[in-house]
Amino acid sequence: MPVDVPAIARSFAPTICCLVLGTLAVGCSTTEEQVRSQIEILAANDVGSERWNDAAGALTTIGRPAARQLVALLNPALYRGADYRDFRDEIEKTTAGAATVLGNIGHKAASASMKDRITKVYRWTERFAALRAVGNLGFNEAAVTAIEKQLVDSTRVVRLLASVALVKLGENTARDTIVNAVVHGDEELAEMAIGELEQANYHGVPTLVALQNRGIREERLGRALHHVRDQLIDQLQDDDPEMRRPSAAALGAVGDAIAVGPLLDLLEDPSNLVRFHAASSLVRLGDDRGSEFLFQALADSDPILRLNAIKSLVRVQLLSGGVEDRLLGCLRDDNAALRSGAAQILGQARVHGALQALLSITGDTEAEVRWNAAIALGHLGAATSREALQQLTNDGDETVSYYAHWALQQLGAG
Amino acid sequence: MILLSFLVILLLSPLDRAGAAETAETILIRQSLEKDRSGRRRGDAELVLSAYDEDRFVVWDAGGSIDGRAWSVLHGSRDEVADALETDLAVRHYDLKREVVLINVWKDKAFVTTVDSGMVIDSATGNRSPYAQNQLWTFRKRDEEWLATGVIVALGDSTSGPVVGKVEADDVAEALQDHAAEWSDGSASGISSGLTEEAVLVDLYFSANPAKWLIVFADREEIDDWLEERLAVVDYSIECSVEHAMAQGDEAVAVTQEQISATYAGGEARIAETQLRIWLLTRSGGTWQVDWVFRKAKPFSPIDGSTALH
Repeated sequence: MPVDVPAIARSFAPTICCLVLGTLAVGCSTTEEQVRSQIEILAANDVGSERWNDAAGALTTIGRPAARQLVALLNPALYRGADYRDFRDEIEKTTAGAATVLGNIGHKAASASMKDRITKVYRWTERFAALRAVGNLGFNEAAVTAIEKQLVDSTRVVRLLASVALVKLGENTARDTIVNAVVHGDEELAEMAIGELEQANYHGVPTLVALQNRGIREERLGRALHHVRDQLIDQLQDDDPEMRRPSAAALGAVGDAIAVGPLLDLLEDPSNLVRFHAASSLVRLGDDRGSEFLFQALADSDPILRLNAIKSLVRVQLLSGGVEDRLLGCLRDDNAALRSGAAQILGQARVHGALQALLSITGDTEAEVRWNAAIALGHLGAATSREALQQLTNDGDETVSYYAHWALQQLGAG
Repeated sequence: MILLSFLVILLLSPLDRAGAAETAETILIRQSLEKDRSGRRRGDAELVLSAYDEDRFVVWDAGGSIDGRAWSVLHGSRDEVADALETDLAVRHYDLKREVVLINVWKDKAFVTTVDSGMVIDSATGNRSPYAQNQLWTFRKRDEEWLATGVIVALGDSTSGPVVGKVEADDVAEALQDHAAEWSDGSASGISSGLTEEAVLVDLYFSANPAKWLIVFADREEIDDWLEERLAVVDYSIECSVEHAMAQGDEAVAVTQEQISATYAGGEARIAETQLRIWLLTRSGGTWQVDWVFRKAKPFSPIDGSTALH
């Protein structure tokens, strides 16, 4: 049976209390002893039961210091000596528990052991737990290969979990399996698919949003997105910028104005990337302070800030539009950096309505603006830009001439 | 011939658990096995015996089966083995090749499976007959030397037909019933007293393929340490039925079927499991003690020899 992941998550709060109380009760017990004691509780309770979930939660709270003992539980050959367990049923409980906890704490070093537990020689609970966990351990070529093999498993739940694991690893090759489970699957499979996406953190957001936009299972998908939204907002406070950044980005996709306040706070974040992703999301949420931030950066003399602004505005324009008019206005600005940056963005975002405006700056006084106009016209590929580009091939600036030739190639022979 | 082919396939199956990697220990074990083989080839009993533990070496006859209910004691002591070997080598020559199929080592104990093939030559007539033998060896390490403590010859597999055990050694059966009772009583000292100091526990994982077996305890001290922790968190209840018990001198082999139920101090789970166990016992001070136990043997049907899926 599938492990009740939401129940594990819900159990964290009481678990922390139990752990603290337990620690006080045992006085000077070492972390290793605490881990051992929780592993015994895993072994003594059915997978997914309240006590099993509590133990998994307690081990998750202990975190990295528990990892060595937990990784050992994944390897059948290490169940010997002091770690021997007589019963396969017991090993199933500890293996599933170890996989779940290692996934929760994102212990990357467990990936090699974890990918071996997803194969059909293991029991369902072990496979399910390992499939859920391996997606949390970060991209790893061997893990992806092992998961992809499960996409042809005869069991639909295995196929679904493998697909979600791939999504969590940034591989969207099997996203259709998840979408099909929600759109065409029976109630049980659809609920499971949504539940898995709900637990997939920011990785699941694009799929959840895409499904919601289809107008099916709206109530359930809405609840899932609310759950993820709250989690993402919490994660904006995380110490790790690599957690804050994707959380900020995903909040833009969730599209809930409740995130505006927390995202605004991130405009002062010490990490450049976090600030830019927060600003992008603010734009997507319709808040002008986000676009103000991005356009200020686009006009900045710091090339790194400008580059980040360009990337962010391209992303925003591609995902939800909304900055097109301001970008067109920038093409007429006195600041050459703004004209140049706006041309790049309009080209990369394939804003075909900008064709005339881009043609108008092919005679710009600044060479950088002219070559970016040429590149943008190349991206748009409109035949009507041929004459202007041919003129630019004779430009006195070699770079402008080079990109004009390149752009003409994009237009083709016609 | 089909049987032999199957045996070879079974014993040569991938060493996924035993591990195919050679180590210093496996090299030394191979050297010991080579002494045995070349001693037989050269008719040198002394060389053969140098591979065996001086304190204890037992030969069991598996009767062509891997089901312990077919097993019996062939030679109960090293002296008996020496006598039989000298007699045998006086009348026969062996032209042998030996395939070491797998070596499973844990601390200072190991088990090894080998497949011998070649010819046996009658010294008087020169007649040559094909020779094929599958063996399961037990080893211990003493003073940096790996020595064989026993060998189970004529080892078979799941195709070897129905096997019905015989309970001929009542005192062995009684000792095993007592041993099970100690588990039910949760008495670590009681369990431990039924073991030799060098007692080894092998988990067979309900498989007839030795490549899947694993030594899980290498001596009584290790078992004691485990029991101390284990019995504090798990409560066992064992109903033991002795299906086979054969003794010769101070050595015995037995098979029990155990209905085990286990409950936990830390939770609600309950285990109910039936296990077949193969016991190799030795008598010390008039008391039978367990020297090697193979837990969770593949459950063969005593009626038709077929295997029950587990």
